[in-house]
Amino acid sequence: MPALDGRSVGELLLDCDLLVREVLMDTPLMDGRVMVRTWGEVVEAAADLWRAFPESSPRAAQPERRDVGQVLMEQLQTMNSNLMKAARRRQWPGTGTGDDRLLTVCENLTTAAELLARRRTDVRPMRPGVEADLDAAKARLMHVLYVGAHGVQVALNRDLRDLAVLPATKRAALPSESVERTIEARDRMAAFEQLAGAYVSGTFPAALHGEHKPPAEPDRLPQALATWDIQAHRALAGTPTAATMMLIAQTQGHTAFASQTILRAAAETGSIEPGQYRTRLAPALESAQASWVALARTWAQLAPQRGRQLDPNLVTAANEIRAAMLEIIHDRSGVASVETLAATDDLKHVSRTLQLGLATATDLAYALREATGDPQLRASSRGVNAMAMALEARGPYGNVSTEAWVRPADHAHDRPIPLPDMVRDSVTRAADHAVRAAATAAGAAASLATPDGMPAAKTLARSTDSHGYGDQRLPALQAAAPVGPLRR
Amino acid sequence: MTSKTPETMTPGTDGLAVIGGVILLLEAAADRCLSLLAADPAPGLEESFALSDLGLVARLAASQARALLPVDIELLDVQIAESSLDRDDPIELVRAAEALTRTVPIEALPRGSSRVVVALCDILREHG
Repeated sequence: MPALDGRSVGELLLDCDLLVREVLMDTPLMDGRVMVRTWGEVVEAAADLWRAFPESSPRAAQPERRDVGQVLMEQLQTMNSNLMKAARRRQWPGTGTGDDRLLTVCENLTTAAELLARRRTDVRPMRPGVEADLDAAKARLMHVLYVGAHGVQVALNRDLRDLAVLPATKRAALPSESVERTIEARDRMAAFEQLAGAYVSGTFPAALHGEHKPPAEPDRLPQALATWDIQAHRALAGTPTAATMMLIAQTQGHTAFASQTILRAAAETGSIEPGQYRTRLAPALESAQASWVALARTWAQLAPQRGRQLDPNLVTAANEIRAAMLEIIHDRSGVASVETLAATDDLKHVSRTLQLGLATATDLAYALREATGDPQLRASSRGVNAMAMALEARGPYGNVSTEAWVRPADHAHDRPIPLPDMVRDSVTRAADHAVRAAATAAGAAASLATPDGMPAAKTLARSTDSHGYGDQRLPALQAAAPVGPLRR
Repeated sequence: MTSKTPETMTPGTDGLAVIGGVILLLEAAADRCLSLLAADPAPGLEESFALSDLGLVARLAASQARALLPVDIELLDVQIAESSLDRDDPIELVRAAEALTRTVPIEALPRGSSRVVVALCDILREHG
């Protein structure tokens, strides 16, 4: 059952894990006292969640044995209570603001505990998959405490260093026992961390392999592909840079690799027509991958170090494409088996989404080729020189130019320069190749059978001619044809 | 930017130079993945997908790291050991980038570097 914001227990715990990792990284910027104020609540919330976890099925051999983790959690809770009692008694760290991220961790843990319904596992034994998911949740929860405690400890150490270098006048204004209390809190946090670490070292990250993987959000991939398409076109419509072209080509190549991974599984499980995949789509996708990779390599060579900054929106969109693909393709340990993919994802639905993604790739390839002709485009002097030399060497007379391709001063500082005609022509040919390959792949994908047995492309361009396609058929369809050998 | 190697840098500019080195190593990893993908014969589909994923995530992490540097900083003067950049295995280049971040205290790195460090650790966890 999800929380009001839609997150499951696993997702809430994952968020906590990421938050404490951030806290740990940023402790040099944080106040140890603020963190101690909030830490007590984190431990209390964690203990409540642990108690809310369903009890593991009793092992036949040790029916009376108590859960080791439960005992450890009680120990940690006691340590925390002692620390908090001492803090109240000595009025240190006193009242004040709490740490926002640790407070969010508290909220997440409390929400997760509320989501867990009580269940009697002594009556109905827990299935192995649920048991593994429970072990993973416990490992992650203890990891949150372990990393969080270390973060508080690092922040307190930082406070001690600050106190040591404080001018005498300012130090005199502080309560005399500040240093003493900070040392005590730090030492207690160190002991807490060590205890939590004992559990973590035996379970993390191995136990996470049993974590339940929810099915991918059905709308995530279509949304990611659409956003990427928009951002890439926007980036090319503005002032395109070599770095932008590089990222677009590389991301398109990755999309083609990911698409083939999914579509192959779809073909093997009958979600799409296997014969068409094998004879038309697979070779076309391989050709598209090769073209995009070649184009990405070319632009990587030409992208100058000055001016490699990328539009953050484009980077975010590329990240989201990758994440959406991985959510489908990966299980906990790597690329999921065909059986797992078929069991966890609606491969027919995903295949239809990928068909559309391959169709828009053609338009993007055209936009990329057009941007190659932009006279404002600048490239690395060293990259231009190396490429021009290589191109000339491939010509009939070898390297015979008496003039340098770039000025020595530009080369020395690797200044961005306009593309010479020979280099621009070569890049345009590579872009042309990407256009043709993308169109072929889109055409092959469009001819895949839909669930009702009708080719998807036919619904787009139905006609009266003998082949079922009229003159208004998509350019992509015209280019569709088997190319190249199948990948092993 | 300083032209000192990470081994001889002093506090102050060290953090920026480390991030500069991380960028170069990550971009070298991304380029290396593309070279391997362009090899003839091409790797099998699973290996290709893994290489493509590593190359893209390395490129995106490099971009994330680049955003931490002031705009007037140039990477041309950043020196990292030749042996680091010459590594054939792209994951070794990422490993070198992660190791580089550990050559200075975390507080010496520019603000926001924690996300880059986390990204490096995630790449190594997923592909290492």
